[in-house]
Amino acid sequence: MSNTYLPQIATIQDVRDETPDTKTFTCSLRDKAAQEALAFRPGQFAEVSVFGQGEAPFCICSSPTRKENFQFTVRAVGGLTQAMHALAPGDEIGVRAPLGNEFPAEAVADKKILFIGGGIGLPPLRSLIWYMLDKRNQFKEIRILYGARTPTDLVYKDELEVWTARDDVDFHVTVDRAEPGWTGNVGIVSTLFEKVTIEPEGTVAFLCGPPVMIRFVMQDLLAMGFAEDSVVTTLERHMKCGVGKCNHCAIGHKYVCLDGPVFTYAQIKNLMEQS
Amino acid sequence: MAEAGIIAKRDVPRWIEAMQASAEVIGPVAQHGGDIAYVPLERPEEMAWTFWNSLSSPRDYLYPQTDTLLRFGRDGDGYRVEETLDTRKRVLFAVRNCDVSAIEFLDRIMAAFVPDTPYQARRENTALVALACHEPNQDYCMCVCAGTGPFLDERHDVQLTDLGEEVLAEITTEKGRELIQAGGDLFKAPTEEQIAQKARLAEEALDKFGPYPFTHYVQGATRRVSLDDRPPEFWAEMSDWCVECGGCTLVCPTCNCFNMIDNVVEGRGERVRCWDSCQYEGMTREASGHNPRAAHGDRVKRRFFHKLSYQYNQRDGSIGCVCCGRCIAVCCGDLGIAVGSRAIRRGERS
Repeated sequence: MSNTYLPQIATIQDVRDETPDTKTFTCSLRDKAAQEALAFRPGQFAEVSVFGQGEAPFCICSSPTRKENFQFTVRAVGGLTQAMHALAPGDEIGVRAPLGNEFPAEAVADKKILFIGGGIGLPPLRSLIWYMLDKRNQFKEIRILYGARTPTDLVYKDELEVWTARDDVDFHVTVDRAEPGWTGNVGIVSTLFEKVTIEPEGTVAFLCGPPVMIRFVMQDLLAMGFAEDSVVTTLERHMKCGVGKCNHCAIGHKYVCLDGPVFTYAQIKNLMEQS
Repeated sequence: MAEAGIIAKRDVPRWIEAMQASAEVIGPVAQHGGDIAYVPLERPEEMAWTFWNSLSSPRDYLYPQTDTLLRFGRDGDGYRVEETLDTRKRVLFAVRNCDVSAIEFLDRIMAAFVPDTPYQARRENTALVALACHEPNQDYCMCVCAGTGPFLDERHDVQLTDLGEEVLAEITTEKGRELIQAGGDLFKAPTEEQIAQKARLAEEALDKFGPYPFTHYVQGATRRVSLDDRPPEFWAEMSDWCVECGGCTLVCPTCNCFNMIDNVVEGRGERVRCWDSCQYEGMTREASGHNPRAAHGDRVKRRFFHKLSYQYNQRDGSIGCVCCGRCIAVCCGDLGIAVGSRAIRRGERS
């Protein structure tokens, strides 16, 4: 019997700054065979151990189509994440993964795909974005709308340029407040809805961002005519165990770590508590 | 398995000693001040026979308040992580049937979806010897509301009934049979009169409950919490009856909220699981400061929803309350399960 809570050791291969308070960690399991066998799906998460600090849940923000490693994008907000930011390539963390359910990918292959990300909400979507782009011919129209507070707060800046340049992705970005040198859109992410033509019929929307953004964008999408099961999001909670035991992430009778983190609006609206 | 044995009460300490040859035997002992606690029976003759129940439930031996899940440290260049599983053989002895039922409930929770191995390692090595209640406590006991006592035909490995000078031991499982076999010649076959006496005690016990099971019927609140048809103001009002000590959830034998923390001493670390409580404001607070369940009323609602709702009833296989009455006994305010569920049912304090 192997302990449910026993993490695997992963080595940090690369750390890159995304914003002044956000870094992306590229990691691989120390056990090479385990790394090759690691099978996760877009939308799943990991419980990451920073030894001495404890464990915290982070979505895996890389695509499983890239098997040699996996990535977490982490904003330094508390003790554990600040300690994680102090780690460098070669340092080790613990990982329990994959946990939780997944985004529907193949199941929406016949739909148009609309991604809507806000700030640090882009990383969970990025796993599915690259999954679809790496299997580009299996999917139809892909559109990405991304907003952040300022240009400095945009994550994956080089990848945003790639998406802008690619003609098989319709990418739009906006910021709440411009900074010197910014020539793009200014306004919250929903202001991008005016710049594109969205056909709710036949489109699935994947959104992630701060709770307030999710709430308003969901209402916008429903008002446009999106079906309730065509609006998909991923929820965040202080998931401690990741396996449906500790109750930290319970909403109504659902566990975000086990029944989620991916939920459709149709599922969320039936939860007994505010999500 | 309807087999049974009879043992003289004065011989029970010998039986306990026989079981101690291969297991740690935990039983009820009166502590200084008179409170009952389940402790290793170092002197078996000290075991209590007449008592309501312990404030800390015997599930603590399966799911301790603090529990080291693993140890970690640097080994050469890298980290090394070692698991710790407690596989000691234990007998939980003279456990009330409400607590036996709570352990059965935890068995289901801990096995569901992803098994909780620290719990299961202990559980597989633990036998349950129930002591049926024929004198329920007038102030707290409500097990008849939840079908968790005072006598049960299953869920335990052996059920004891105190017949006065003698004790009837009914065997429920193979594990239980081995415990009786350990007692050897101490056990005789029961007479028909002794079997009949137990049946009489079980029936008479039903008439000895206080008013709670009848006036505060717990499951009556299920419909109200399941439909969510009490307004936020109602929960806010109920939160006034609670001082946020968390006592109800810490003594509850089915509660299983926990947190995990790392302790590091001189470079060697351990990850410890410790009980948490949905009644604490910090339980759902995230590092960013965002707290989806900050309002006290939301937390009160959470407790009763988790214990009583139809949704959880379906998910977990029963309601999450075995009606042991501990939360009534420890509440520093006035929000035990009985008062709370009655208020939910009526929509007002009563």
